[in-house]
Amino acid sequence: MESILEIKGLKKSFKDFSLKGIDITLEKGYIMGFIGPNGAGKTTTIKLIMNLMKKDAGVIKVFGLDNVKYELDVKQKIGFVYDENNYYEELTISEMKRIVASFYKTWDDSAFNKYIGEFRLPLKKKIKDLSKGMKMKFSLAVALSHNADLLIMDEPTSGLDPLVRRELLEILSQIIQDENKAVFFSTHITSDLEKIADYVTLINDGEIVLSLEKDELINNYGLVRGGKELLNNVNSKDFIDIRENQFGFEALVKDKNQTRKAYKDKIIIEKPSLEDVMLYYTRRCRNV
Amino acid sequence: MNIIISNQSDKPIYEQITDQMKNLIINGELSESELLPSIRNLAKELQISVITTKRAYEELERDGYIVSIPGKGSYVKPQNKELLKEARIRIVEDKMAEAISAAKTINMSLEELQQILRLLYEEV
Amino acid sequence: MFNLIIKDVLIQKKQFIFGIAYLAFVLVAFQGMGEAMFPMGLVAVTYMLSMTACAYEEKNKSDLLLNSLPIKRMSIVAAKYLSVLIYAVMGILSYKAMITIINLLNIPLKTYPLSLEILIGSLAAVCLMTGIWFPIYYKLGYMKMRVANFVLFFLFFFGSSLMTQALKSKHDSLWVKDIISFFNTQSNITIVLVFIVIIVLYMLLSFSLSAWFYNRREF
Repeated sequence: MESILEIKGLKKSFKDFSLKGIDITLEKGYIMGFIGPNGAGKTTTIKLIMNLMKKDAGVIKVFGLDNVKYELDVKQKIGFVYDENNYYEELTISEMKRIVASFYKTWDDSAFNKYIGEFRLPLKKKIKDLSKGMKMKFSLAVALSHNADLLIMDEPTSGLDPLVRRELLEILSQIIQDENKAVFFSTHITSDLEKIADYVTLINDGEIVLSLEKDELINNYGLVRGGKELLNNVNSKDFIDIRENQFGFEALVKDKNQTRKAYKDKIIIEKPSLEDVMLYYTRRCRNV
Repeated sequence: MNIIISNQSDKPIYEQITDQMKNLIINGELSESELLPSIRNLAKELQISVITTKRAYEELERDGYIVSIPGKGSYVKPQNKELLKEARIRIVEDKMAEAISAAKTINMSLEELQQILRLLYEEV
Repeated sequence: MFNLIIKDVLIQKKQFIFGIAYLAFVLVAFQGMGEAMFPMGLVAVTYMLSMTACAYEEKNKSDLLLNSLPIKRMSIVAAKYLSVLIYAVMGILSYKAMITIINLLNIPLKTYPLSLEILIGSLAAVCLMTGIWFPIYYKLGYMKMRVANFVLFFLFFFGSSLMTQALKSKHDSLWVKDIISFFNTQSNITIVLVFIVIIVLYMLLSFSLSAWFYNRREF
């Protein structure tokens, strides 16, 4: 399989935070969810991919090409949507489009018009007069109108209502109908990814905690609940993190079948949500 | 063709798809050599990940229910109906054996078991 | 790159009208300044327009947008420099138009036709200013640049008067004499040419500095 995005040993230090040599690989044809709490390094990683920041060490390859050396070629084929609107608020949609379109060799006006119609965006309206959802849809329309192969999104759904978020997910699954395309999607609202993400990468405090198929995570990991007396003879390696309360405990385990064998019907095991996984891993890091 | 997915079920989603597709094939709702929806299209329609549908199709292919031709798509494999049915019967037998051994652990008699079976058969 | 300039013009529609109004105001209010009114007005207008353009970049955080598009950072900087030229040309044209109108309608105002010297002098003043403050902008960003500019502004005024005084006091020193005699012996064309070459070199240096700074910026 050909990787569309390959990050190896990426490092970047700031005064109060650093990315500690992260690795990420995304194959074409798939959607990767990049999750983690605020301040974990998601935006920094994306800014490094887009060469908005300079890395201290490591390799970033997009479409197999170095993202700095082949910056312009790579950016021709990337569509981006950021959490905040960065378009000129003073311009109308059609003015802004004209300017942005001029930089892409493969700009497709008919695709753009199709999305504008689908998203019901008013061409003559100034960007500052659009709602947050409309601004995101405009960014998305731009990102999808130059035949980009890789869509990079940084918290695109933050502050959007559930309806728009659902629409976005449907569009994303529409995009990867073309198996040469891929989506890299950062968010702390994990429920967005619960459905359609193929891979999940969890980052915390500048380190990749896990990166695997979402199905593997949902099908193998388990959220376990049981009485506290069980904890006395527990091998704590099996448990990613344990949360005790007055009446029992809740824990995340990596292999729910093994846990079920060990404790039989003394415990209840449920499928974890991505949020559960994120919370347990993040908390573990804080406790250690 | 209907495929209904439950997110709450403990059964993995790919397994829900393979089970339902197998049933559709055995019941003849999906006929021989019929073109199945593409992996990506099915994922889009069900709003699930591509990896899930891909895995489901791989399992179906491995179990001999479908054939995938690269670049063309996946088709229902011509089946020997008798053999298929036999396979299904074997599944029923396995499940019954499981029920019987459970019954035996609490010393349930054959009559009692038959009674439960009759009741359940009418209900389900 | 051309489209980046268009963008700067489009987002400043209101400021352009204000700029023209300001030039008209200068024409009326600074009658006493004579020929010097134009360079002053032009510097003020181009300064205002390029400042606002940068303020809009800051407000919209458009460095993120521009640097995510397939554009060289150098082109982004070059567009800003060239847009100043566009502002200057627009200023010159609207000033010309206003003079023509005043003369046609016989409005009782003194007008001064734009001589080549005044034109070049005005452009030089514009370059002198932008050449300093663009590198500061690309190094520090808009907010810090405003503070730096404030300081610079005062240094410029006090510095220039100090320098004139210093030059006057050293009127007899050799190198000042050398320069004066050089200019006296040359024809006007040569002086203008030397002047232009110096300005162009100065702007190239300023541009390279800006591009160098901007290439190192992180967003």
